[in-house]
Amino acid sequence: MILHHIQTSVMADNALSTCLRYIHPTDSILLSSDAVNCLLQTQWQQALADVKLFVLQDDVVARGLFDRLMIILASEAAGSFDIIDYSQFVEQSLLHEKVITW
Amino acid sequence: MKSMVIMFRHAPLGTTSTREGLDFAMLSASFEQEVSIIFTNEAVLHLLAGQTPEQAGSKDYVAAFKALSLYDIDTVLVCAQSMQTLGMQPNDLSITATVATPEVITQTLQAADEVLVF
Amino acid sequence: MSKFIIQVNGSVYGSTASFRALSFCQSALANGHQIINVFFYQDGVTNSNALTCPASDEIDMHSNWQSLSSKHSIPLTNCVSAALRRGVLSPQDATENGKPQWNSSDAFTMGGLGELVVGIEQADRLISF
Repeated sequence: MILHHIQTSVMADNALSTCLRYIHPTDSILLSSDAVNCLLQTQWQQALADVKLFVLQDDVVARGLFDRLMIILASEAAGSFDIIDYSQFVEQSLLHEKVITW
Repeated sequence: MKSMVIMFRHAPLGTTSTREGLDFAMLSASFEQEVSIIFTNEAVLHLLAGQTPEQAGSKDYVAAFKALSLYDIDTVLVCAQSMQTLGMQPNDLSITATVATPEVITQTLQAADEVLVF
Repeated sequence: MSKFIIQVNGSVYGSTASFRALSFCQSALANGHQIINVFFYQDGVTNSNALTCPASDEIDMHSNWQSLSSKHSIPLTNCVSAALRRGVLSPQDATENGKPQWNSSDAFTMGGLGELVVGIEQADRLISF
C-alpha cells in the first residue's frame, strides 16, 4: 500500500506514466505542483479513473484550477479524486506503508 | 536495517541524477542496509558497454555499476519493457542483472521499506 | 506521534519543491508529529545559501528553513559532497578547499549521506520533494 507522489507535469516528464506501469491495486497517487494539470486532459482522467487519487489543494487553487476540477469531478467521464490539504497529505503518508516520490 | 530500493529512471550523462543516486545506494549498502537497484526507462542505457562519459563532460560513474556486488548489492533489476522500447537485448547488459517484468518490479516496490527514485 | 525524515532535492529558487517540503514540515509539526531531520540533497543544498537575495515581495526559502529550524529545533543537514559541487560551502569547507568565501549559513550542518541513511532507519516515513 504505497502513496505515489508525483510533482511534475505529464507534458514535461514521464513520472506519472512510469508510476502507473508499476502501481499495485492497493496503492494511491498524490498529484502536486504541475502534476495536477494532467486532470484537465481526458486521456489522463481515464488513465487515472481506477486509481485512488489525491490532489494537493494549494497547488490546484494556486493555479486557478479549483472550479474546473470540481466540474470535471462532477462529470461522469472522469473517475473520482479527493482534493486534500497538507494536513491530509501528512495523514495519508502515515496511512500508507510508504511514500514514493517519482 | 531497512530494505531500500533505489530506482533510476533518467538517461545516462544528461543529468547527474543517477550519479547522485548511485552514491546514495553505495553509501546505504556500506551502512549495512539491504539495497536493491532498479533501472527503468532510459536509465537502462546505463548498462550498455563501451561508454566514454568523459567525452560528454561527465565523470565515469557508469563504471561504478560494475562494483555493485562488492557492496553486497546483489539484486539489480532491469525493466524488460524499457529494454524492449529501446531495442536492448539481455546480452547487451554489461553487468550481472536480472531482466524483470513490470509485475516483478511492482512486487519489489511493495516489499521494500523505502524506495528512492533518482 | 510519528517521526518523519524529509529529503529536499529541489533548489532554493527555480523549483517549488522546497516550498512544498517546508509546508509539509509545518503541517506535520502542527499535527503533533516529529521531524527528525531535513536532509538537503542534489540541488536542494542551495537552500542553505545565505547569499540568496530574493526580491522583497518574493518568498525567501533560505530564511524560511532557518526559521523553522530555530523555532522547532529541527536539524537541517546538507549533503556535503552535493554542496561542494554546487559551490555551497561552510567556513570549514572554504578553508579546506582554499576558497576565499563561504556561503552556507550555520543553521545548516554539512554532513554525509550516512546521516540520511541513519535518519531513514530511525524515521517512520521518508518524504522526498
